[in-house]
Amino acid sequence: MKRYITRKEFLKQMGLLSLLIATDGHCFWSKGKKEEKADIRGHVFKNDAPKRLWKWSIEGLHYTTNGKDVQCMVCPNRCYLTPGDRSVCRSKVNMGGKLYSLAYGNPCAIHTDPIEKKPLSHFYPATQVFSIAAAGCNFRCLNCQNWEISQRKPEEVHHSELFPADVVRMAKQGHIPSIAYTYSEPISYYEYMYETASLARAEGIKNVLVSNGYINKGPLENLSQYLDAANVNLKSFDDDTYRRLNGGRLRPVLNTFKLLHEKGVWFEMTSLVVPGYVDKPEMIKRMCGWILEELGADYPLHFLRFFPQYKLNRLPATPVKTLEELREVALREGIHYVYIGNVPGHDAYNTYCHNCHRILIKRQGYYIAKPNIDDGRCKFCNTPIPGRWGD
Amino acid sequence: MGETFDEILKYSPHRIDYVELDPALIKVASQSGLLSPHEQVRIIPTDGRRYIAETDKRYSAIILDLSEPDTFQINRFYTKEFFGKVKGILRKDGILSFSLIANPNYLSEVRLKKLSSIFNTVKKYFDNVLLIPGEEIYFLASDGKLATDIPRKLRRRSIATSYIDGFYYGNVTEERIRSINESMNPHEPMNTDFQPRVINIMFAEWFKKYGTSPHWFIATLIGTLVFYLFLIKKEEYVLFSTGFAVMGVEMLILFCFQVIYGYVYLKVGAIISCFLLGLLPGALLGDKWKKRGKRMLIKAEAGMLLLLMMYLIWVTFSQSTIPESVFFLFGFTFSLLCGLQFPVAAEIIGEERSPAAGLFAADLVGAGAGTLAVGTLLIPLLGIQAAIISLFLIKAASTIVILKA
Repeated sequence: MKRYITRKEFLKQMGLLSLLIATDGHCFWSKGKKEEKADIRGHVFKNDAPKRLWKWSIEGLHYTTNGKDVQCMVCPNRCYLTPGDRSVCRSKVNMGGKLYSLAYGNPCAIHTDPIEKKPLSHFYPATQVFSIAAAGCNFRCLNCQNWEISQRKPEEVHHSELFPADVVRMAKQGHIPSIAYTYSEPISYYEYMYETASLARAEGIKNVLVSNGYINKGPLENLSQYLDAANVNLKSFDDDTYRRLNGGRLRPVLNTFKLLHEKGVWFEMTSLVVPGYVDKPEMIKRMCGWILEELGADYPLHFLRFFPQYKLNRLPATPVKTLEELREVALREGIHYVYIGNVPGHDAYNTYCHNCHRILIKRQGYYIAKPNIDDGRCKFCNTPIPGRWGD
Repeated sequence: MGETFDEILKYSPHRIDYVELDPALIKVASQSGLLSPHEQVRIIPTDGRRYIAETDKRYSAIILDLSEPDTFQINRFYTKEFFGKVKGILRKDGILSFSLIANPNYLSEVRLKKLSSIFNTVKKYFDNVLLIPGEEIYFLASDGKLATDIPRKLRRRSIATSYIDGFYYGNVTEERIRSINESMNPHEPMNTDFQPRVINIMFAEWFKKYGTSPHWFIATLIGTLVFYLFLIKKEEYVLFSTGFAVMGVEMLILFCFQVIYGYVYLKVGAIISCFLLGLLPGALLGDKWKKRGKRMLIKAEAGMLLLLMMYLIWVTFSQSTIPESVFFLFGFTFSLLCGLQFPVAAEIIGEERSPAAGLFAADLVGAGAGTLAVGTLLIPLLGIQAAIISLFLIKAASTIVILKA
């Protein structure tokens, strides 16, 4: 006898079949996506702009228009935003055909730090620096220690209200000689930094940029007229690692170093030694070769110890031996000042004269005994010591 | 591990008792030179909570050197129950110290919740609780006075340290200390063994970190289940809910076992075996009594509801340490009732309606859903009590379905 299935049975079978197909399809689809995971560079957030601008918005600097579309030209991401889109750094939006920054006068972190914490070892040692940050970053570093502000939209974080003039007033009231744009990525709040820096310069307060250096030439040229110092990350010397670990590219960062050098801005370089990513002596050797050729031997290089952070919380901390080995490589290649950071009590916190090798600055953490530097020269052998030393 | 001892030894204590759950860790650390023998150090290979509950010694300081409370095993060292016991073995004005991860430059909402919950939990037992924002957030708790100028205290005792001497004044400013201590929210609920508020917060932190959310998972799970439940017969629903409840109870037993004893991996096999073992006699009894039909099903339902009620009473009012065998017996009995229902339900449906595959499928789908829902959602998000109540309601619903059939 011929047997027909009931409607209920048919629905049941079809339901199960669709579940099966969906599961299988998902497996294949995920497999395809894995290949793309090597490059973690960020993407524009489509239709993610807020409905209206808020109090802490300002029209962006350095952008071009194409009808109602805009393109931010501050950093090499060059985000092309149609109306209602949000930039990779999460701080810029296209509102009605204009580019706006949502990070202006709304710092989410305000602290006073020792200048050595940035780290800057050759820039007015033992002074204080008024430090601010607003939300956002144009990178996606897997090891970001400030991800709660760098990987968030300005609207998603608690913030204070401190417009550029207020920042300068607070630094002045506290008799703090410098202002640092730091913690998250200052390039993502470029307009806020730029205006604060220009006001600070007029008041005789120094400006310090702590950044990944992922910025275009024009904006950096404009900013550098007010910059006194910078600590810029040289996160590795390999474009592939930049893509996989940081979500950026190497070349623009190298251009930043060259421009700062050309403009006479004092800077120091920082490499976080992430195990398995940035711990190959051969790569450090190439990095030092480039530094010597393009920038010279005098800009200090800091190797920082990595601790498990953010999405790399299953990696071990960098062995101190690895840091020492990399420092040796850099010194052997000819870099004059190579420091080790995040290892309290290590001798490589001290500054040694590159000529006579005697201790110029003995550091116990941030505590500094009187430097053996007179008028920018080594007290022992009279060699000029690169940096900004003051009176 | 060794570095911690080196630091503590600078204070010349009479004795340091190091309580470590995993003897293999002690062995490896000793062999690799991380743990060098010291005259003052006694290594006690046992569970820290058990030790604190049983010891008659009194201590001047207790240091928790643990990872973040993102599992039940670790969370039990940050709960009201634990801090109460710690207070009991501290000398007058003794100090408890531990640290938790938080960004020293910015305190996010989710981390503020975590710190506030633990702050309020510790505060229940100590007059003074002070947070020191270093590379991590250090908690100091005592009935005595707590000072923030730690470098000065160390200098007075001529104790030299690499970090405190050099970095404290730059990293731990008065402004940062004031800011973090003032930001604690007194209304954040406390963290307890069976209402693990902090695990829930750690989940939220994890989702924030990866920019994702569990809502899709929850919606898909619920959507699929509703679709499935729409298709099945009433008797199949009974077995679905039984599968759900059995696996849910298995999850609850595993979590509670870990909370009470501090370990579970060694006993996982035994616990699961008890659940499996109960099915066989249950099925045999069910086969014997299958002719009693609906009455038998209801009796089994009542048995499960009774067991769930007993579990809820223990979790709510007692929480005492019960022998391991009680957990095993509980699992055996619960699955026995599950096994008993299977042949009875098959008998009610009748052979001509092909019950075996449908019933088995209902049981398996229920078991899968129970494991996912209880293990990944109900316990971490709502706590043990809420998970038991949910299972009770699901079983109560199936009882009503049988009664109405």
